[in-house]
Amino acid sequence: MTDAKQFDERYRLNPRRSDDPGARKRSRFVAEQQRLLQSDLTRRPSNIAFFEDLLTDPGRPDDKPLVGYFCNMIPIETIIALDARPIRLGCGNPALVQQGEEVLSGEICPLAKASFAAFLDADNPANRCDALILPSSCDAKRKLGEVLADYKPTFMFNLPPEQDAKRFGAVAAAEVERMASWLSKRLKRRLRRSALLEAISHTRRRTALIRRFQEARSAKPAALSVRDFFVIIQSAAAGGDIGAWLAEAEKALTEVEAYEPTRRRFRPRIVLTGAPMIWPNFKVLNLIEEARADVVADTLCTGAESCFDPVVYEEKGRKALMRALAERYVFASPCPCFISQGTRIARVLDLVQEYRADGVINYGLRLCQLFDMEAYRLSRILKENKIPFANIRTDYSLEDTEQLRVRLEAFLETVEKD
Amino acid sequence: MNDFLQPILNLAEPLTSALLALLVVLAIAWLRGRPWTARARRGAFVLVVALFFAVYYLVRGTAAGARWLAAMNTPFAAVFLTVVLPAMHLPRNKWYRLFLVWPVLLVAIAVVSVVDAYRAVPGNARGFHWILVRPVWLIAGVTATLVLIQPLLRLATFRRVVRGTCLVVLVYGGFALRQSYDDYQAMLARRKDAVQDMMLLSETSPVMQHDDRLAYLPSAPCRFTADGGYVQGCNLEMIQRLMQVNLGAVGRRDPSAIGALSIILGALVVFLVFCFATGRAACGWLCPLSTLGDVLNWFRVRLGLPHYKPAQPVKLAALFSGIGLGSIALAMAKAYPHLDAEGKFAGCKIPLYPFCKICPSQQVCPVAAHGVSAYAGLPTWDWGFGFFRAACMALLAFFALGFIASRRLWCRLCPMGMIAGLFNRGGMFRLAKDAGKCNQCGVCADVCPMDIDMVRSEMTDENVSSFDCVLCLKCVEKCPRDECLSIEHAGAKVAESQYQP
Repeated sequence: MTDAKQFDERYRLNPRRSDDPGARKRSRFVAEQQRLLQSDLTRRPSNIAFFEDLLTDPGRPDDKPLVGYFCNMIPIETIIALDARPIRLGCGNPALVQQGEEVLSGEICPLAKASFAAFLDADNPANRCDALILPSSCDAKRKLGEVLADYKPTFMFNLPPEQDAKRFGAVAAAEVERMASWLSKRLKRRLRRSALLEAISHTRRRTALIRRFQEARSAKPAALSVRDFFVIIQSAAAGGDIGAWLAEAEKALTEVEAYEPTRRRFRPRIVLTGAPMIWPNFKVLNLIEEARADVVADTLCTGAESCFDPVVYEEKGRKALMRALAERYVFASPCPCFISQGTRIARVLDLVQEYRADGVINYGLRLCQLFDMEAYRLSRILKENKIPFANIRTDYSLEDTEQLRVRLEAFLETVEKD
Repeated sequence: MNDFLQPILNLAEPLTSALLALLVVLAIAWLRGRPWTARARRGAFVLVVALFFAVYYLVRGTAAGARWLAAMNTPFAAVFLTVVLPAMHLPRNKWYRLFLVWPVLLVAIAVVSVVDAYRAVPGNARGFHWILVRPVWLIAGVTATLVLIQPLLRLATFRRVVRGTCLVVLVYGGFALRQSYDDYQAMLARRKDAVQDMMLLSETSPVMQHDDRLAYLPSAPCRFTADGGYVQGCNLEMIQRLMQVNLGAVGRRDPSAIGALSIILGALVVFLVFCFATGRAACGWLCPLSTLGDVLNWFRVRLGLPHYKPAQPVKLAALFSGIGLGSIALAMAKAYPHLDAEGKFAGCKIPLYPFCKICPSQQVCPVAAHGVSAYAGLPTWDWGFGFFRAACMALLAFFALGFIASRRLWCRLCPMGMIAGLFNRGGMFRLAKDAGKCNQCGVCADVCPMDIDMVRSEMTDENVSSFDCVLCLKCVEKCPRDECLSIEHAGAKVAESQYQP
């Protein structure tokens, strides 16, 4: 396959760096702050430090190449199969927002700004990547690829506009194939089918684990805080060894499943939907739990939903596997970047029913039009179904924390069980 | 043993009636919709069955009634009613184990029946004569075994086991599962010339041909399998027989023509009842032709080669070729009473079973059962001015290509499956989808061997059964969303999607 250049070589720029020890310090401080806050939780898995360490800095345990990716729509199985480590680069560190803002613009969503700012610091784990893959999942990401191409070899993964597997199935599968061959050329490795199958079996085991976590948490939310749950989930994509992660997560799951609550729990059960919440920006999660509510399920692409769907294949041919990857990563996604929001609405309604939730909280990231636009129809549909709904729109900064706390507490009072 | 069982069997005869099978599935489906208590429903059900038994005994008292009822009796109905239906409908709780006593008993009876048949072998001929067993006990034993092992297996494994078992029984049953020692010897005596044997239908005798009854299955258990096969044949063989009946002779009250007609009509009723009760499930679970074809498909999958996803025009072409060739061949069977001494009608040489002459099953099944030596060759050019040879070659090529390159493309052409497919919607099986759980990821459409997209795309109707669906349940097995897809029989959930890593 001819590898057409995605970016115009004539206008390449020298990567811009900013060696700002203050920003580095601030970002480390924010992460420590969140760790500290979560250390107050009453029940935590004994090995939670393993997951937190992964998130703070995965290090580079061996000399496998690192492949950075954004969003939950990149088939990481291809990366694993090429004997590289996938690392998810979507950044949730509020301290980096301002740095990114200074270079790019203020009118971009904080996620894109912070993710970009990670590349300004030469010491950041993001800069250890050997290649980057970005999906064209929103306008910010679509353009971020070109900006980051100055820093690292970058591939833009084109998503179809509609989640119509009949119409776009072959296109999406071809795009996965294109991505895989770009990557294998870049890493100078051959993608073997057996390696791909093995990687799929790993992520399928991860899916099974996350689903069991989900069941256990829904039955007894006190067993595991949603913040710790998110830490466990997000550390799976932090660039560590997936085998080690599976072993530790299995251990944590055993503890969670073994927990027997001593009394009934009267806290409202919440389904969380909306924009990604990326560690250490767990502001809203902190608030919800401090207001004594349980998040029993979510549709967040950085939450349980990110590992919920397995790759399912019937045939083991390369073409069939690419198709299976496209089905899982493109067509099963509840991302608002697609034309219809039916997937997400159906998922929210189903989660409310399945996990007997008392209300839905939609988290909108300021300056993200996609989630913002979706909130209107979502709120009306939930109202029609008589499900209490709160829409919270905020960004990474802590300025509005107390206003949000008041709003959340008021909302939770309306859904409170008697 | 048979003498001891005879009074019981006599009393239980209504159980073998296809009419009872129909009544029971209809009653179950109807009672499910009633807002009654479970007790009232159970009572009504027992009442209906008791009424049927009473009416059956009464009608059996008259000579003509007994003859007609007997024409619609089949051991398949009894096994379906007492083993398959409870296995599908009973809730899987601890009481289910209590029900499992019955299949265990049936397996025991089948074993005893084999021992019994071997005891009857004359002393000078002791030795190995394959498995000698009465068809009713074989069917009961095999079905009971499958029901017993089902809870231990995953859906995919279970389907493989069922398909393998049906292949063995239907293709090798003709010589390996004869009724008794005498029956086995008679088969060996006929076997002198395997090819000749298969081409002269009157010379062969399937294991289940007895008591003026013919057993047909709604799929392709080919008539031309060596040594007569196990059952009479597929549904098209039955319809060809119906076509062959000389209606003029029936009008003249010719007893032989009336006898032939009544046998076919009885078999037709049994066949339609099973189609209604099981839809096209026989294609996905039982058909030996598709199992043999899937062996070809398996090689492709093993090699990791991609398959051809048929475009809509190709699917339609297959459908209309099937309908066209099927109707032409069936119409030709009408010529049977008018054939002259040379086997010609209006100067055109027409075989007794015109559709079988072009069907790939006649080419494939004998070879599968008896090796290449049993291959009779393609029909010669003089049959129907070359029509039969050309059509046979085309269909054989389509069969092989369809299975090798495109999973089950052949099944879109197969007229046998089409007849059962008419019962996919409106029949008792229903593929149901909870659209609230579906995210249209497309896995179901991708794994479907029939390349049906409707299971994915349908988001308003809960019923996603379609004419082409062979009920193989691959979509249910692979669906990544728990409880999204399910298969229901007469309103009862038989299986549903459940993720397993």
